[in-house]
Amino acid sequence: MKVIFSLDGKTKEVETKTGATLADILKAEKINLQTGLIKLNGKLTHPSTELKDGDTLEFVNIIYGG
Amino acid sequence: MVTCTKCKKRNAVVDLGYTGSDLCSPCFIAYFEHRVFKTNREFKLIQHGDKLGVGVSGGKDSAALLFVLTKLTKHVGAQLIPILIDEGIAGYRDKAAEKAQALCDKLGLRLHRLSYKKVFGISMDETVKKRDKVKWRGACSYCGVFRKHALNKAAFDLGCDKLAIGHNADDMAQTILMNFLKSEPARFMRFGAFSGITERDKFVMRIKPLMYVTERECAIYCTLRDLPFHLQECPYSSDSFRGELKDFLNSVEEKHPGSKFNIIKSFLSLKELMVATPVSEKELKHCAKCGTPCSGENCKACLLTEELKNADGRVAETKQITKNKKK
Ligand code: SF4
Ligand SMILES: [Zn+2]
Ligand SMILES: [Zn+2]
Repeated sequence: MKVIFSLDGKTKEVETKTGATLADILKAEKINLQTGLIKLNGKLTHPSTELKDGDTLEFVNIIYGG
Repeated sequence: MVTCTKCKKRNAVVDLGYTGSDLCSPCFIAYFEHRVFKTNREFKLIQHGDKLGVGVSGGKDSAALLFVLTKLTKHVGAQLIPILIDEGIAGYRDKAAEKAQALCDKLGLRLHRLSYKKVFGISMDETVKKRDKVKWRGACSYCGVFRKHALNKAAFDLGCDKLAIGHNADDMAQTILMNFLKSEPARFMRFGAFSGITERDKFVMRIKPLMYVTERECAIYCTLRDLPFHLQECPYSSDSFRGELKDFLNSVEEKHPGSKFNIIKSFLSLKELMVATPVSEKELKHCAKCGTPCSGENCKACLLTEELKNADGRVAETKQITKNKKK
Protein backbone atom coordinates (compact mmCIF):
# COMPACT_ATOMS: atom_id res chain seq x y z
CA MET A 1 0.00 0.00 0.00
CA LYS A 2 1.00 3.60 -0.45
CA VAL A 3 0.93 6.51 1.99
CA ILE A 4 1.82 10.17 1.57
CA PHE A 5 4.62 11.33 3.82
CA SER A 6 5.63 14.92 4.38
CA LEU A 7 8.54 16.46 6.24
CA ASP A 8 9.65 20.10 6.33
CA GLY A 9 7.23 20.99 3.55
CA LYS A 10 8.49 18.21 1.25
CA THR A 11 5.94 15.56 0.32
CA LYS A 12 6.56 12.11 -1.15
CA GLU A 13 4.81 8.78 -1.67
CA VAL A 14 6.02 5.89 0.45
CA GLU A 15 5.39 2.22 -0.37
CA THR A 16 4.79 0.15 2.75
CA LYS A 17 3.48 -3.26 3.87
CA THR A 18 -0.13 -3.68 5.00
CA GLY A 19 -0.45 -3.20 8.73
CA ALA A 20 2.51 -0.83 8.95
CA THR A 21 2.30 1.75 11.74
CA LEU A 22 3.34 5.40 11.94
CA ALA A 23 6.36 4.34 13.96
CA ASP A 24 7.40 1.93 11.16
CA ILE A 25 7.44 4.75 8.64
CA LEU A 26 9.48 6.98 10.96
CA LYS A 27 11.95 4.16 11.45
CA ALA A 28 12.25 3.57 7.71
CA GLU A 29 12.79 7.29 7.20
CA LYS A 30 15.39 7.30 9.99
CA ILE A 31 13.53 9.88 12.04
CA ASN A 32 13.79 10.01 15.82
CA LEU A 33 10.31 10.49 17.31
CA GLN A 34 11.88 12.60 20.08
CA THR A 35 12.59 15.36 17.59
CA GLY A 36 9.01 16.16 16.66
CA LEU A 37 5.32 15.44 16.38
CA ILE A 38 3.63 12.94 14.12
CA LYS A 39 0.31 13.79 12.54
CA LEU A 40 -2.00 11.45 10.65
CA ASN A 41 -4.41 13.17 8.28
CA GLY A 42 -3.73 16.43 10.09
CA LYS A 43 -4.22 15.18 13.66
CA LEU A 44 -1.74 14.29 16.36
CA THR A 45 -1.76 10.48 16.45
CA HIS A 46 -0.22 7.71 18.54
CA PRO A 47 2.80 6.21 16.76
CA SER A 48 1.50 2.62 17.09
CA THR A 49 -1.55 3.40 14.96
CA GLU A 50 -1.87 1.29 11.82
CA LEU A 51 -1.93 3.05 8.51
CA LYS A 52 -4.48 2.69 5.75
CA ASP A 53 -3.85 2.96 2.03
CA GLY A 54 -3.76 6.61 0.94
CA ASP A 55 -3.21 8.02 4.46
CA THR A 56 -1.32 11.29 4.81
CA LEU A 57 1.45 11.47 7.39
CA GLU A 58 3.27 14.56 8.50
CA PHE A 59 6.28 14.85 10.75
CA VAL A 60 6.63 18.27 12.35
CA ASN A 61 10.21 18.95 13.35
CA ILE A 62 10.26 20.90 16.62
CA ILE A 63 13.94 20.90 17.43
CA TYR A 64 15.33 24.30 16.54
CA GLY A 65 17.79 26.60 18.16
CA GLY A 66 16.70 29.82 19.85
CA MET B 1 -5.76 1.93 18.06
CA VAL B 2 -4.15 2.32 21.46
CA THR B 3 -6.37 3.04 24.47
CA CYS B 4 -5.37 5.70 27.01
CA THR B 5 -3.63 4.13 30.02
CA LYS B 6 -5.10 6.73 32.34
CA CYS B 7 -8.83 6.96 31.59
CA LYS B 8 -8.99 3.62 29.75
CA LYS B 9 -11.73 5.11 27.57
CA ARG B 10 -10.46 7.35 24.80
CA ASN B 11 -7.87 6.70 22.10
CA ALA B 12 -4.33 7.60 23.07
CA VAL B 13 -2.63 10.23 20.91
CA VAL B 14 0.67 10.50 22.76
CA ASP B 15 3.27 7.91 23.65
CA LEU B 16 5.13 8.98 26.78
CA GLY B 17 8.18 6.77 26.52
CA TYR B 18 9.67 7.37 29.96
CA THR B 19 6.50 6.68 31.93
CA GLY B 20 5.42 3.76 29.78
CA SER B 21 2.00 5.34 29.42
CA ASP B 22 -0.07 6.30 26.40
CA LEU B 23 -2.38 9.25 26.89
CA CYS B 24 -5.45 10.72 25.22
CA SER B 25 -5.66 14.47 24.67
CA PRO B 26 -7.48 15.48 27.93
CA CYS B 27 -5.31 13.13 30.02
CA PHE B 28 -2.10 14.49 28.46
CA ILE B 29 -3.16 18.08 29.13
CA ALA B 30 -3.96 17.19 32.76
CA TYR B 31 -0.64 15.35 33.09
CA PHE B 32 1.37 18.27 31.68
CA GLU B 33 -0.29 20.85 33.93
CA HIS B 34 0.04 18.61 36.95
CA ARG B 35 3.80 18.35 36.37
CA VAL B 36 4.21 22.12 36.20
CA PHE B 37 2.07 22.64 39.31
CA LYS B 38 4.13 19.99 41.11
CA THR B 39 7.42 21.64 40.13
CA ASN B 40 6.03 24.89 41.44
CA ARG B 41 5.13 23.33 44.80
CA GLU B 42 8.37 21.39 45.11
CA PHE B 43 10.60 24.43 44.62
CA LYS B 44 8.16 27.05 45.96
CA LEU B 45 8.58 29.05 42.77
CA ILE B 46 5.49 31.26 42.64
CA GLN B 47 3.88 32.58 45.80
CA HIS B 48 0.75 34.45 46.74
CA GLY B 49 1.01 38.13 45.86
CA ASP B 50 3.96 37.70 43.45
CA LYS B 51 4.21 40.03 40.51
CA LEU B 52 5.49 37.56 37.96
CA GLY B 53 7.20 38.52 34.70
CA VAL B 54 7.11 35.85 31.98
CA GLY B 55 9.52 35.81 29.07
CA VAL B 56 7.59 35.04 25.89
CA SER B 57 9.11 34.63 22.45
CA GLY B 58 6.24 33.39 20.28
CA GLY B 59 7.77 29.90 20.36
CA LYS B 60 6.17 26.74 21.73
CA ASP B 61 7.93 26.61 25.10
CA SER B 62 6.95 30.08 26.22
CA ALA B 63 3.44 29.66 24.75
CA ALA B 64 2.95 26.56 26.89
CA LEU B 65 4.50 28.37 29.86
CA LEU B 66 2.26 31.41 29.58
CA PHE B 67 -0.89 29.33 29.23
CA VAL B 68 -0.16 27.10 32.22
CA LEU B 69 0.88 30.10 34.27
CA THR B 70 -2.45 31.83 33.71
CA LYS B 71 -4.01 28.85 35.51
CA LEU B 72 -1.31 28.59 38.13
CA THR B 73 -1.24 32.28 39.03
CA LYS B 74 -5.03 32.33 39.31
CA HIS B 75 -4.78 29.38 41.68
CA VAL B 76 -1.95 30.86 43.77
CA GLY B 77 -3.07 34.49 43.58
CA ALA B 78 -0.21 36.09 41.63
CA GLN B 79 -0.06 38.70 38.87
CA LEU B 80 1.18 37.79 35.39
CA ILE B 81 3.17 40.15 33.13
CA PRO B 82 4.23 38.79 29.71
CA ILE B 83 7.43 40.31 28.32
CA LEU B 84 8.75 39.95 24.79
CA ILE B 85 12.33 40.80 23.95
CA ASP B 86 12.71 41.80 20.33
CA GLU B 87 16.23 40.95 19.16
CA GLY B 88 15.63 42.68 15.83
CA ILE B 89 15.91 39.67 13.52
CA ALA B 90 13.84 40.52 10.46
CA GLY B 91 11.71 37.68 9.10
CA TYR B 92 12.11 35.71 12.31
CA ARG B 93 11.31 37.41 15.60
CA ASP B 94 8.74 39.73 14.02
CA LYS B 95 6.78 36.71 12.79
CA ALA B 96 7.10 34.98 16.15
CA ALA B 97 6.05 38.18 17.94
CA GLU B 98 2.75 38.14 16.05
CA LYS B 99 2.03 34.72 17.56
CA ALA B 100 2.98 35.94 21.03
CA GLN B 101 0.63 38.88 20.60
CA ALA B 102 -2.16 36.59 19.38
CA LEU B 103 -1.72 34.39 22.45
CA CYS B 104 -1.78 37.37 24.81
CA ASP B 105 -4.93 38.67 23.09
CA LYS B 106 -6.51 35.25 23.54
CA LEU B 107 -5.63 35.30 27.24
CA GLY B 108 -6.59 38.94 27.75
CA LEU B 109 -3.05 39.91 28.82
CA ARG B 110 -1.05 42.97 27.87
CA LEU B 111 2.26 42.11 26.19
CA HIS B 112 5.20 44.32 27.14
CA ARG B 113 7.98 44.68 24.58
CA LEU B 114 11.60 45.74 24.78
CA SER B 115 14.09 45.68 21.91
CA TYR B 116 17.86 45.21 21.75
CA LYS B 117 17.92 48.39 19.70
CA LYS B 118 16.41 50.31 22.59
CA VAL B 119 18.59 48.77 25.32
CA PHE B 120 21.92 48.34 23.53
CA GLY B 121 21.52 50.71 20.58
CA ILE B 122 22.03 47.81 18.19
CA SER B 123 19.73 45.11 16.77
CA MET B 124 20.79 41.50 16.16
CA ASP B 125 20.71 42.10 12.39
CA GLU B 126 23.21 44.92 12.88
CA THR B 127 25.26 42.93 15.38
CA VAL B 128 25.65 40.11 12.89
CA LYS B 129 26.80 42.50 10.17
CA LYS B 130 29.43 43.93 12.50
CA ARG B 131 30.37 40.51 13.76
CA ASP B 132 30.83 39.26 10.20
CA LYS B 133 33.77 41.60 9.86
CA VAL B 134 35.66 40.03 12.72
CA LYS B 135 34.08 36.62 13.26
CA TRP B 136 35.53 35.85 16.64
CA ARG B 137 32.23 35.09 18.32
CA GLY B 138 29.08 33.30 17.22
CA ALA B 139 25.86 35.34 16.96
CA CYS B 140 24.33 33.43 19.89
CA SER B 141 27.20 34.49 22.17
CA TYR B 142 26.02 38.09 21.86
CA CYS B 143 22.34 37.30 21.68
CA GLY B 144 22.29 35.07 24.77
CA VAL B 145 23.94 37.73 26.93
CA PHE B 146 21.78 40.51 25.50
CA ARG B 147 18.54 38.61 26.00
CA LYS B 148 19.29 37.80 29.62
CA HIS B 149 20.20 41.42 30.28
CA ALA B 150 17.18 42.89 28.46
CA LEU B 151 14.71 40.49 30.07
CA ASN B 152 16.07 41.31 33.49
CA LYS B 153 15.89 45.03 32.77
CA ALA B 154 12.30 44.83 31.51
CA ALA B 155 11.20 42.74 34.48
CA PHE B 156 13.00 45.03 36.92
CA ASP B 157 11.57 48.21 35.40
CA LEU B 158 8.07 46.70 35.48
CA GLY B 159 8.52 45.98 39.18
CA CYS B 160 8.41 42.18 38.90
CA ASP B 161 9.35 40.05 41.92
CA LYS B 162 10.29 37.07 39.77
CA LEU B 163 10.80 36.22 36.15
CA ALA B 164 9.59 32.92 34.69
CA ILE B 165 11.43 31.60 31.65
CA GLY B 166 10.47 28.76 29.31
CA HIS B 167 13.47 26.51 29.95
CA ASN B 168 12.30 22.92 29.68
CA ALA B 169 13.84 19.58 30.66
CA ASP B 170 15.77 19.44 27.38
CA ASP B 171 17.37 22.84 28.00
CA MET B 172 18.19 21.86 31.56
CA ALA B 173 19.80 18.54 30.59
CA GLN B 174 21.80 20.21 27.80
CA THR B 175 23.08 22.95 30.09
CA ILE B 176 24.05 20.47 32.80
CA LEU B 177 26.03 18.37 30.31
CA MET B 178 27.55 21.48 28.80
CA ASN B 179 28.79 22.72 32.18
CA PHE B 180 30.27 19.28 32.77
CA LEU B 181 31.99 19.17 29.41
CA LYS B 182 33.31 22.71 29.73
CA SER B 183 34.26 22.19 33.38
CA GLU B 184 32.47 25.22 34.77
CA PRO B 185 31.78 24.34 38.41
CA ALA B 186 30.95 27.91 39.43
CA ARG B 187 28.18 28.07 36.86
CA PHE B 188 27.02 24.70 38.06
CA MET B 189 26.38 25.91 41.55
CA ARG B 190 24.18 28.74 40.37
CA PHE B 191 22.09 26.52 38.10
CA GLY B 192 18.72 25.06 39.07
CA ALA B 193 15.01 25.76 39.37
CA PHE B 194 15.99 29.26 40.46
CA SER B 195 18.92 30.81 38.71
CA GLY B 196 21.29 33.70 38.80
CA ILE B 197 22.53 35.67 41.73
CA THR B 198 19.56 35.79 44.05
CA GLU B 199 18.71 38.61 46.39
CA ARG B 200 20.69 41.33 44.67
CA ASP B 201 19.27 44.69 43.88
CA LYS B 202 18.57 45.34 40.19
CA PHE B 203 18.35 41.61 39.67
CA VAL B 204 15.06 39.77 39.22
CA MET B 205 15.23 36.13 40.23
CA ARG B 206 14.62 33.73 37.35
CA ILE B 207 12.46 30.65 37.78
CA LYS B 208 11.90 27.63 35.53
CA PRO B 209 8.43 26.13 35.97
CA LEU B 210 8.87 23.91 32.87
CA MET B 211 12.02 22.15 34.05
CA TYR B 212 10.23 18.80 34.38
CA VAL B 213 8.48 18.78 30.99
CA THR B 214 10.30 18.10 27.74
CA GLU B 215 10.53 20.25 24.64
CA ARG B 216 8.42 17.70 22.76
CA GLU B 217 5.76 17.78 25.49
CA CYS B 218 5.58 21.57 25.19
CA ALA B 219 4.93 21.23 21.44
CA ILE B 220 2.29 18.56 22.07
CA TYR B 221 0.62 20.70 24.73
CA CYS B 222 0.45 23.74 22.42
CA THR B 223 -0.93 21.58 19.60
CA LEU B 224 -3.60 19.93 21.74
CA ARG B 225 -4.57 23.23 23.36
CA ASP B 226 -4.52 24.91 19.96
CA LEU B 227 -2.24 27.73 21.11
CA PRO B 228 -0.66 30.00 18.50
CA PHE B 229 3.11 29.45 18.24
CA HIS B 230 5.85 29.97 15.71
CA LEU B 231 8.13 27.18 14.46
CA GLN B 232 11.18 28.31 12.53
CA GLU B 233 14.91 28.05 12.88
CA CYS B 234 16.61 31.34 13.72
CA PRO B 235 18.75 32.38 10.72
CA TYR B 236 21.70 33.16 13.02
CA SER B 237 21.58 30.00 15.13
CA SER B 238 25.25 29.34 15.85
CA ASP B 239 25.47 27.41 19.09
CA SER B 240 26.60 24.17 17.47
CA PHE B 241 27.79 22.64 20.74
CA ARG B 242 24.30 22.86 22.22
CA GLY B 243 22.91 21.47 18.96
CA GLU B 244 25.20 18.47 19.16
CA LEU B 245 24.16 17.82 22.75
CA LYS B 246 20.51 18.12 21.70
CA ASP B 247 20.96 15.41 19.06
CA PHE B 248 22.93 13.26 21.46
CA LEU B 249 20.33 13.54 24.23
CA ASN B 250 17.48 12.79 21.84
CA SER B 251 19.09 9.60 20.59
CA VAL B 252 19.90 8.51 24.15
CA GLU B 253 16.30 9.30 25.21
CA GLU B 254 14.88 7.26 22.33
CA LYS B 255 16.82 4.18 23.44
CA HIS B 256 16.77 4.81 27.18
CA PRO B 257 13.56 6.68 28.01
CA GLY B 258 13.84 8.92 31.07
CA SER B 259 17.53 9.78 30.59
CA LYS B 260 16.90 13.53 30.34
CA PHE B 261 15.05 13.62 33.66
CA ASN B 262 17.69 11.43 35.26
CA ILE B 263 20.41 13.92 34.31
CA ILE B 264 18.45 16.72 35.99
CA LYS B 265 17.67 14.66 39.08
CA SER B 266 21.27 13.47 39.44
CA PHE B 267 22.49 17.02 39.12
CA LEU B 268 20.07 18.35 41.73
CA SER B 269 21.00 15.62 44.23
CA LEU B 270 24.69 16.24 43.63
CA LYS B 271 24.17 19.94 44.13
CA GLU B 272 22.52 19.31 47.46
CA LEU B 273 25.45 17.19 48.58
CA MET B 274 28.08 19.66 47.49
CA VAL B 275 28.65 22.45 49.93
CA ALA B 276 27.57 25.54 48.09
CA THR B 277 30.38 28.04 47.91
CA PRO B 278 28.49 31.31 47.78
CA VAL B 279 30.01 34.10 45.79
CA SER B 280 30.96 36.51 48.57
CA GLU B 281 29.33 39.90 48.74
CA LYS B 282 32.68 41.63 48.30
CA GLU B 283 33.39 39.93 44.99
CA LEU B 284 30.09 41.10 43.58
CA LYS B 285 30.10 44.56 42.13
CA HIS B 286 27.75 46.61 40.04
CA CYS B 287 28.49 47.41 36.44
CA ALA B 288 30.00 50.89 36.29
CA LYS B 289 27.94 51.61 33.18
CA CYS B 290 24.48 50.17 33.72
CA GLY B 291 24.42 49.11 37.36
CA THR B 292 23.68 45.42 36.76
CA PRO B 293 25.19 43.14 39.43
CA CYS B 294 28.32 41.47 38.05
CA SER B 295 31.74 40.24 39.14
CA GLY B 296 33.96 42.65 37.19
CA GLU B 297 34.01 46.39 36.50
CA ASN B 298 31.42 46.04 33.74
CA CYS B 299 28.73 43.47 33.05
CA LYS B 300 29.00 41.12 30.10
CA ALA B 301 26.33 42.94 28.07
CA CYS B 302 28.20 46.24 28.36
CA LEU B 303 31.50 44.56 27.44
CA LEU B 304 29.93 43.05 24.33
CA THR B 305 28.26 46.30 23.18
CA GLU B 306 31.62 48.01 23.61
CA GLU B 307 33.27 45.24 21.59
CA LEU B 308 30.76 45.78 18.78
CA LYS B 309 31.28 49.54 18.83
CA ASN B 310 34.98 48.91 18.34
CA ALA B 311 34.46 46.21 15.71
CA ASP B 312 35.57 48.48 12.85
CA GLY B 313 38.73 49.35 14.70
CA ARG B 314 39.39 45.68 15.31
CA VAL B 315 39.20 44.94 11.59
CA ALA B 316 41.91 47.48 10.94
CA GLU B 317 43.96 45.96 13.73
CA THR B 318 43.56 42.43 12.39
CA LYS B 319 44.52 43.55 8.92
CA GLN B 320 47.55 45.34 10.27
CA ILE B 321 48.71 42.25 12.08
CA THR B 322 48.33 40.05 8.99
CA LYS B 323 50.30 42.58 6.96
CA ASN B 324 53.10 42.63 9.44
CA LYS B 325 53.22 38.85 9.52
CA LYS B 326 53.64 38.65 5.78
CA LYS B 327 56.67 40.87 5.88
S1 SF4 C 1 19.45 31.23 17.84
FE1 SF4 C 1 21.06 32.54 18.65
S2 SF4 C 1 20.92 34.43 17.46
FE2 SF4 C 1 18.99 33.33 17.16
S3 SF4 C 1 17.59 34.14 18.70
FE3 SF4 C 1 18.56 32.33 19.60
S4 SF4 C 1 20.35 33.09 20.71
FE4 SF4 C 1 19.65 34.73 19.31
ZN1 LIG D 1 -7.35 9.44 28.85
ZN1 LIG E 1 26.49 46.91 32.26
